[in-house]
Amino acid sequence: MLTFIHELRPMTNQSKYWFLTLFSVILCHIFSNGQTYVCADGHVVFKSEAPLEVIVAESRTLRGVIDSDQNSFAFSIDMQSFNGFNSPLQRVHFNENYLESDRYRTANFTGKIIEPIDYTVQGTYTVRAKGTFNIHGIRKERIIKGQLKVNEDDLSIESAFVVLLDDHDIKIPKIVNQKIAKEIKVEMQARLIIEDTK
Amino acid sequence: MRSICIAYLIFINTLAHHAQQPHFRSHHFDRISSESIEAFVQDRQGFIWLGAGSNLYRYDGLSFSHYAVHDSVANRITSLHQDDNNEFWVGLENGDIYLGNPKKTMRKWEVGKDLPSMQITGILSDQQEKIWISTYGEGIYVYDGKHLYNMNEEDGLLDDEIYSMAVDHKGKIWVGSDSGCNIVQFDNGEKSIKSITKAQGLQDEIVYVLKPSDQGMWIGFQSDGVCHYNTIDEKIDFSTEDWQYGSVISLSEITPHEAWVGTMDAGLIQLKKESAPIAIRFEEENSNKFEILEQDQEGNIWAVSSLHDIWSTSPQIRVFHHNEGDVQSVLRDKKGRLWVGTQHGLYNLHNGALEPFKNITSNVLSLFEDSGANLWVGTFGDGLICINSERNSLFAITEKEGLSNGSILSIEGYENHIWLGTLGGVNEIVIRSPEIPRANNLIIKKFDRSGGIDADFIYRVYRDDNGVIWIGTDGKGVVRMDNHSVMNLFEQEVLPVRTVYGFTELQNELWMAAPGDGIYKFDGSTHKKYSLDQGLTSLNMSSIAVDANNRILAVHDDGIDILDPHNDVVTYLGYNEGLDNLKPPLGSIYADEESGIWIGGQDLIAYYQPRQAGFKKYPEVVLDDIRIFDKSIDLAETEFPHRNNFISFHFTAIWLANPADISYRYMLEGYDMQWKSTGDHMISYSRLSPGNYTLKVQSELRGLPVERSQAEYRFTILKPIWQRDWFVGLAAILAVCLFYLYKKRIEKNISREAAIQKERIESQYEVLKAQINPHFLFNSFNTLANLIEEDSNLAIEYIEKLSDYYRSIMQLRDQKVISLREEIELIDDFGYLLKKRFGENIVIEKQINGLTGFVPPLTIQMLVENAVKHNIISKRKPLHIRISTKDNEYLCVENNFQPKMTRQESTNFGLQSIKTRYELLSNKPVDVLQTSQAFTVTIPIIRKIIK
Repeated sequence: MLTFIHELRPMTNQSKYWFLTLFSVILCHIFSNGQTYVCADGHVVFKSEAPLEVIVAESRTLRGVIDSDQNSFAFSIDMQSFNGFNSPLQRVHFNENYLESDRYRTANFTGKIIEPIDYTVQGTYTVRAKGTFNIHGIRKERIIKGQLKVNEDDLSIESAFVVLLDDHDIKIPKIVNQKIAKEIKVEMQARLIIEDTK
Repeated sequence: MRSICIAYLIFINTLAHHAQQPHFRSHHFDRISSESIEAFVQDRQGFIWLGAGSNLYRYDGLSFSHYAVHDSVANRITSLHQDDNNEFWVGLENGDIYLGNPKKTMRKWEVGKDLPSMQITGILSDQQEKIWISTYGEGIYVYDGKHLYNMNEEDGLLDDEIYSMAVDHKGKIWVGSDSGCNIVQFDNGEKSIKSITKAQGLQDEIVYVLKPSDQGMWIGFQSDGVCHYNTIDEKIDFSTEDWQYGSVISLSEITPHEAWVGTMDAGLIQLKKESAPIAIRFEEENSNKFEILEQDQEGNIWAVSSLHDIWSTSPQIRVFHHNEGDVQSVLRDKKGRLWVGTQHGLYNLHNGALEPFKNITSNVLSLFEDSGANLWVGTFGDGLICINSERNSLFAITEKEGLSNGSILSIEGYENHIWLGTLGGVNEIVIRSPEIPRANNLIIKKFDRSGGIDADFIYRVYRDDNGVIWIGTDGKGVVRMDNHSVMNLFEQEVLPVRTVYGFTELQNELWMAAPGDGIYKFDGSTHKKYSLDQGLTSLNMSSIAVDANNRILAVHDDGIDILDPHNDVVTYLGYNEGLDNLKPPLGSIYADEESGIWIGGQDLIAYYQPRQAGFKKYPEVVLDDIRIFDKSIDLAETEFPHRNNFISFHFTAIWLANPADISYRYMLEGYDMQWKSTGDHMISYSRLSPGNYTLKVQSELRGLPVERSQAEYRFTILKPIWQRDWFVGLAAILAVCLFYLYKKRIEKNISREAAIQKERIESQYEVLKAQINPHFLFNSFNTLANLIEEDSNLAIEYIEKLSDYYRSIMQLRDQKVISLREEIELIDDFGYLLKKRFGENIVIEKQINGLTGFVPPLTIQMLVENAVKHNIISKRKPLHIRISTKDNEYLCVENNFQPKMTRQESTNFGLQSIKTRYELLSNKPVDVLQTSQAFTVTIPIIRKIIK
């Protein structure tokens, strides 16, 4: 818990919300018997396939928790941590013009897992995560399909889904709309380990 | 063997019930608004209400009208409902609820604290009229009219975020959420919550959609398709497998075996319990996400797409388009295979396409399957082909084998008999039973001109349930053939129809499609013709059939007319269903065992399913507003004062299937002599005279009145006040009273008159009596006698005076009053007589100022007489009588008082009579003053005579 407080950036309103969710998830954990799994490695790639251009970018600073008792989760990513793009200028446009990442620094996804999972039994589960995506300050409730694998000591999750720019009010100027797709394909993988409670 | 059976079954099941597509039409809501429609409800009158953004719209089938929920409402409408009291409930995305009548006012629902504060996802009424509200985040609320209750996860609900809510046929409330369904009941404060989840067999946790059916509930899932839960058997009796179409976001039941499903990414899907799902194609490319699917009161299906448009269809008709030419014949065989005969050959409709069958490329005109499952194919010019029941061998029969003609327009059969209608008469084929037909075991009989049927071109051969064969010819009439005889009904003048393309029967009556003429009904002796006047849209009939609801389907160039023989209402399926260019070849119709009817058209095949029971069959008229001088009045009022007499009636009949076909006719009983037609929605009357009226309004479908649709309104124009019974009565009573009072007054006057008269008569009588009083006469004669002795001249004078006196009395006594002058003259005469009698012993003195005025006759005379009668008159005591006027108003008669010893009989009548008479004539009193010295009577002089 101390680690997290240390790593938090200066809070914006939206970050505050995410923090509270995380905080309450952890608080619940303290008063329950379940485990909290914390993201150790996370990898997110997004791809925009437009008629005139394909853009790929990725980030490895995914943060998140899964609470096995509540069967709930909270994930967040720093929008400024994405790298790749086809040019540095493109990355600047991404941050300054499209995602406005100085105002909306993180994108997050919090919610619950629909299917009941027995975290003590190893296996691969196809699950649906129902939660709220908060990107560019706009929230949208989604149900995302994914795979959750319970291993001996950790969890691995992976999922592929689509984010519609319109859903989050991400505006692309007409002049470049042949170069940027309206639907962004996202793939994520993460490994979560049991949190040490000291 | 078993594997063959399984293969067979798979074959049947994969015969996707062909690619029959319903024809949707757009209502162009996107031209009105660009907001998403999130709520949809049909009210009791038939209007469709939509919530788009924060705005409410009402649709009558032709145009949209906009209504505001409330001035301050800016949140999106997410739920709409009309309760049993006709109040509208509007649920918003922020939990607020408004209710009322959108056409008048709506108010915010406030029944205490703890109202919903999260998005309203559903509102409905249960069988006890309680209101149920589902929310996204707070579970459900129940309102029983007094208290508002909440049920959520703490009370046992699976989840607080409710996606949808429905009420099943048993009256229980279902809610769908992320963990399954709950079935909730709430009676008398007692709640019961049951769960149906994956543990009970649901294929998915997330229940997005719930829709009730007659026997249970359809359940649509986020990921794994649809299932149907049977509430009678309490188990799932249907579920989809390997669902590939994504999230189910809407659903509507079509029949107990078929439902349509709106999906997130795969458009609209036709789901049938016994076969594979079929995608429903839309003409427009991108209208593929349907968030709302609802069925209206007529049975039409409405689909709201995310592109802000509304579509509707009648599931009665599905259409399949193809390119193989005119479909001249259709048949569905016992194994469920659909056969289609066109000019280019014989085909099977399989997996959404026409597949040619073998090498049959002849022009196929007719098809028939006999009791042995052999398929008979009639061609144009190439004779008859018989395909065996396994469909793996065939043989042909042509003129060479004995047919009278190679063009077979119609095939009919029964057991081992086959009848052919050809261009060369009727042929009958007998199969030597029980053998399978082969070219060499058939007996062919010809019924052509030589065989008793005087016609070449045979359009149709039909065998009815009684075994009678009916033959439709080209212009030569209908021929009836049974075991005993052949009869041409036209020649026998029994049935005036010349050409018949199709036959069918209903309840022992024969129905015929007569091209250019219409439809005929025939019971063996009498017939009835249906044509444009009876509501048919066209006379170019090509075939006829009976549907499962016992209605007659008449197929013509422009579509299908459906006639209900019980009430003669005709409904039409045509342009709106994609059938307006049907142009069906004659006889191209087949009624299958599943109660559907296949119809072949120019480049399409149509499949008709009758409307399910319980839907509106015709438009009903609803009176929705009555206004007086343009101000709406309460519909419960039925009496109007006579002044408020400009009344307008507003009415609507909703017929969403063909709204342009509706018009109205009305009649005001008590005013109109006959029905009048109008296309407007309102009629008005002004200056109606008092009386009772009944307004009747009926709807008309394509100009033909639908009598059962009548709406009535009885009302009365009250008579004006002055014509009302109570007023008249009161007036009459008043008149009687006044008359009575008037009469009484007259009577009073009369009786007053009578009294005066009586007095006068009586006094006259008395006077007369007194005058004829022998005493007075004796005295008078005495005096006369003395005078005669003394002075004869004086005696003559005396007699003259006496007779004058009596004459005056006789003259004046009848009058009510006489002038003072006359009375004084009388007194003078009387005085003379007295003087002559009494000499110096009597002195009559007069001090009269003016002789104007009146007195009752003989008044003074009576007073003087009284004085004489009662007083001593002697030399020693002379009697002084003084008559004087006082103040010009009174007359005094005074005499010195010296009463006689022996009183003469006195009735006291005289004085009393004077007093009485004066009472009647004047209000001034008569005064009598008696002193020891004198006796004075004062009488008023009457100045004014009261007539």
